[in-house]
Amino acid sequence: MAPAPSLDVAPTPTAADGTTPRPGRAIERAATLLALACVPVGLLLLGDGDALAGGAVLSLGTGVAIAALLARGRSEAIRDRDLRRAGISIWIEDWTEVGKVILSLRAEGRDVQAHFAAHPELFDQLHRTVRITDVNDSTLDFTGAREKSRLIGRLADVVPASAQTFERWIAAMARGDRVYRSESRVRRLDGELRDCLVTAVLPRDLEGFGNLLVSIIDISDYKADQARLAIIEREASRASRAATVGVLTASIAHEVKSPLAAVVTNAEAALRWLRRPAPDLVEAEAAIGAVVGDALRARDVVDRTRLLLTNAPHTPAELEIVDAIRSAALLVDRELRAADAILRVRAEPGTPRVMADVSRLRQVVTNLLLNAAQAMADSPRPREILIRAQADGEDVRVEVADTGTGIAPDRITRIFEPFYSTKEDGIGVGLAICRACVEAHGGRLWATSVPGAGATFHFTLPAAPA
Amino acid sequence: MCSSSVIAIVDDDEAIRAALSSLLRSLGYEVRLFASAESFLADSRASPDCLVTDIQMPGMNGLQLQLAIRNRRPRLPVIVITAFPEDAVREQAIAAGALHFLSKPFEADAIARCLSEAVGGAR
Repeated sequence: MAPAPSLDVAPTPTAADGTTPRPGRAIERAATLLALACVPVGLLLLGDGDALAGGAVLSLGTGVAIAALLARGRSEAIRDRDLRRAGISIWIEDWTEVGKVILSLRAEGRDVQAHFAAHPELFDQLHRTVRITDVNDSTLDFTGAREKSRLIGRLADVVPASAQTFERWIAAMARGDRVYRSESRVRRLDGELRDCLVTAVLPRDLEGFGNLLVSIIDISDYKADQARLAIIEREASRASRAATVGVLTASIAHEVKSPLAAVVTNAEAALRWLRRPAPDLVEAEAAIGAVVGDALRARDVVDRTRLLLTNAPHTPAELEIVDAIRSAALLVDRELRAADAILRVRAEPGTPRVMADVSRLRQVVTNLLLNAAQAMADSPRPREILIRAQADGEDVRVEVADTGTGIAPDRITRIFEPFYSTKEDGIGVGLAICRACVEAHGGRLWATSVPGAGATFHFTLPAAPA
Repeated sequence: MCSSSVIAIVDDDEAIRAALSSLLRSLGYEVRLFASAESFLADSRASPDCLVTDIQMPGMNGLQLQLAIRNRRPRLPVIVITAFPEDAVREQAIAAGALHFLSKPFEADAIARCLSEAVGGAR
């Protein structure tokens, strides 16, 4: 159902059987029909929230309204004023000619859908035969028409745009669907387009085709709310992304600025040692040596950040796990030494080679090592990190154990959530990325801990074929 | 500047401590290094002429250190250095009595001027 620009020129109402319908009586009859027909519609709407986003909420109201009407309608027919109060627009339509074609095809055992597909001209021909025979008062409110006579007549004349949805109606009838339901847009007499939910219980016999009851519910406000909500959600998502980028940028800036500050300060110091009346070459050499070390640290920070953030292609290859772990450890050697952490790497006898992307494996190991070093910052010495690799079924299991303060039980799973951080200046993406990397290999990453006695991170990788 | 002026440097970043130590010694100051605010406060012998402290550190941060030291040494000049030079942090540091607020990385002349002002005289 849609635009009705020609509502002003509605033809004289004539029913399909040539008689003149009596508006009002038909609606009374329809109200009784609705009481029966809407039971399955209401139940269907109540149970189906997928086809129309949020439809369950809308349909719940419809279903409840109908249920209430039905409860009262046990002893009396539901009256038009009830439907008006419920805001349900009812159109009684005569689809007799359509029914004749469909029912005769069915009687002949022919494929109704295939017949219509082979004769598309039928859509236009049949559309012109469909008539609106009655509407309820709620329809006047809905369309802005002053009199029912404005809305009664040939459907194609009263609602020309119904041609756009007519094929869908025919398809549903041809399939033998019990219920037709779709969203549509109807243009009021004042030109305003309203979003609608159109439903009808589809007829089984010719009498039913002659009295097709179509209900229309105005869902414009609901759709407008949905649209506003979508805009708010998009804005919130954009703001969240912007905030994330901000936090990430600040974190990277801090990581890079620290070694950069050391480079500048050491270089300035070296210059001052050299510019003394009696240049102190030993101090200058030490400062310049520190410049080199700080610059390398800055490079490592950039490399690690790039590893962390780039979505490099996953290219697994057969490799020796211990070699990969040791090469990763070199990337964070300075941090481990600064933390006074002693790293030991062991592979149990018979540990097979693994299939892994070496870059991503390094990313995982460096993150776990940095986490371990930070976890032990407040722990008494010796601060040890033990990495142990061993065969585990068809996998290789790697354990990274530290002697830090451990992880509280309520945090042991949350630490893998993106943007969950226990560090004041952390952004909480490291472990989430590690888990994603491991899972991309077909492995698992988890943590165990005895609070006060350290934490162990375990991950598995598939063993290379023997 | 008195050649015997003692500058305490509190920074959890070992590289920054070492670099500042070299620079400040090249300027003629005596330097004491601390890896945390707690270790500085715990050192009863630490009686510097000026405190240079980072803001963001594990445990007690630089702002908390300022407040803690204010009771003990209300006249001790404090220079705050940070990689996060946000206005709010700067205002907090100055409100807590910081003499200067420097953003890492800073030029040697900048900290030399600050120290000169803090301990008097200049080389």
